[in-house]
Amino acid sequence: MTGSPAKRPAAAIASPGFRLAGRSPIERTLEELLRVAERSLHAEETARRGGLLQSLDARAKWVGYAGFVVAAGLARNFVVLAALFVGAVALGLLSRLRLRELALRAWLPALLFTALVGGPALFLIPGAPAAGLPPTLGISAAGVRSVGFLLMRVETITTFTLLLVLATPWARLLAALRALRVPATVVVILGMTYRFLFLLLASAHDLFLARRSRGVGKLPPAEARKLFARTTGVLLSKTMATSQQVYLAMVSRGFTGDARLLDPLAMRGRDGVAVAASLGLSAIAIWAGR
Amino acid sequence: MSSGGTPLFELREVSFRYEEIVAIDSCSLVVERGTRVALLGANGSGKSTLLLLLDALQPPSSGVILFDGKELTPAALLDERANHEFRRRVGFVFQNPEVQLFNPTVRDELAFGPLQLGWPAERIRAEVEAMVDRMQLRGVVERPTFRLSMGEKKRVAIASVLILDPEVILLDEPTAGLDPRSQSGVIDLLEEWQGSARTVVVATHDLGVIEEIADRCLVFQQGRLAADRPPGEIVRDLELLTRTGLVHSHRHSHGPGVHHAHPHLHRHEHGES
Repeated sequence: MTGSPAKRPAAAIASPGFRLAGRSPIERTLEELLRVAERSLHAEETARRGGLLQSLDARAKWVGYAGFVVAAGLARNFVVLAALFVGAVALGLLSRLRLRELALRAWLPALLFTALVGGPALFLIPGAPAAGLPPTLGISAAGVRSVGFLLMRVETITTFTLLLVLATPWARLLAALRALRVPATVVVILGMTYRFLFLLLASAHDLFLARRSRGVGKLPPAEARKLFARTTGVLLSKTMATSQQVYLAMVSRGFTGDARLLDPLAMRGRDGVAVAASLGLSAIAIWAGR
Repeated sequence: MSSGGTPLFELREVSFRYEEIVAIDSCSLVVERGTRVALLGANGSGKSTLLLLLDALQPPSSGVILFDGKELTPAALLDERANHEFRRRVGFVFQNPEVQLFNPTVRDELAFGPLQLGWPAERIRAEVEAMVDRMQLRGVVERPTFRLSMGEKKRVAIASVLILDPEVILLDEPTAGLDPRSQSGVIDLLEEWQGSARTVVVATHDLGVIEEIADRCLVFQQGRLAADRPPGEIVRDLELLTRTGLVHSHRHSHGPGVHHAHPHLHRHEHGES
């Protein structure tokens, strides 16, 4: 729908499908995703705060992260999982990350994701009705236990992941992966995927903004879905082409797959202690959580 | 045409295809050391592709490209030393600065190239500081690159290449999308290089500035070299410019009832009044 409202037939304006221009759910989602992407760029700021994790070498953080994630993934004891979660929160606070930052970037998205994926299990897993709930709801104790475990596991792993990302500049994370002998191809793919996501979101946002600037009315939902489907393909091709150009621009300035740093990675005494402590605690958690 | 200087780039029967589309068609030319060459042509004429080939970012589909007497091939650049040497000597400023700015801050962006080439950290820090002052980036040096204006992005993109002090600079539409003040800054920079040892190859549509920024013009049409002459001759050859899509005819009025179409070269000069 284009043209000024004055030129539209009155019937069209009065039709149920027509509303004055505003942001569609798709546009709102894109804007929110773009904001999240921007915030992740601000992770460079949190990575420069002088906290516990920021003071450690990126390789030590990767090793500790791997240990805790394996422990959280294997734990079958709720108390152990909860202890790992509390430990992750404590690490976050010692690294000068705010609870609000963790809640908005890790806990809330993980909760929504788990509710979406695990919610039906509350009703589908057979067993005795959960204590304190009316039996007519059909929620079993086994279902509550299963979803509770899933939720706690996802929250714990997401929190550890966020700690790693927020407390380490992206370039150092990639350089540490190379130092840990992860193949250059994998690291380049990871790096380019990160950039691709930014470009994709920015292109999508521009595209929807351009579409909105050319129309004063909202499309009916069916038309909006068609437009979305049509533009998705164009968007992906466009972003792929731009990503390729980004890669060529990197190669043109000497990039060969290795992330290089102005301040090189350096393992010090405290990094060794951190690696030993995290691997020790992970081993205890795995043993206790059997 | 060749001015008789030492050849830096030499293309022999070079062609490049994007699947079925021929972007460069049997192109042979020589770029001498220390010259400033403008590549002219309408959209899709092959200018940007030629720059990618000169920077060895794409291998030609057929033909040979020599740089300083040695053949440029992907295999030759697999050797790290050879690659570093070539990347240090040849810099490329892309048309869209967005693709060239991929680091978190302006400072990181400037340090990226020197880091890749393995310069010592102290030298990189000193060169970054010098480039920040030279390109007047002090106010934005710690800013994320996506928060810069288009003019600032272009300056950072150029600075990120200049910091390597390359002896060859390839620029793709350096003034496109810039406001007049930013355009003027870029042109001043290109003018600065006149008479220096630096070799400059600029792809542009802007006929108004080529006499200032280039000593030689190569005009491309559908991937083929249509003319190779000094800029002054090119801008006065209206037939060539019309044929290659660099000027266009448009209708306008020459008084009441008198409307006709004729080609226009859009330029202006600031003479004495």
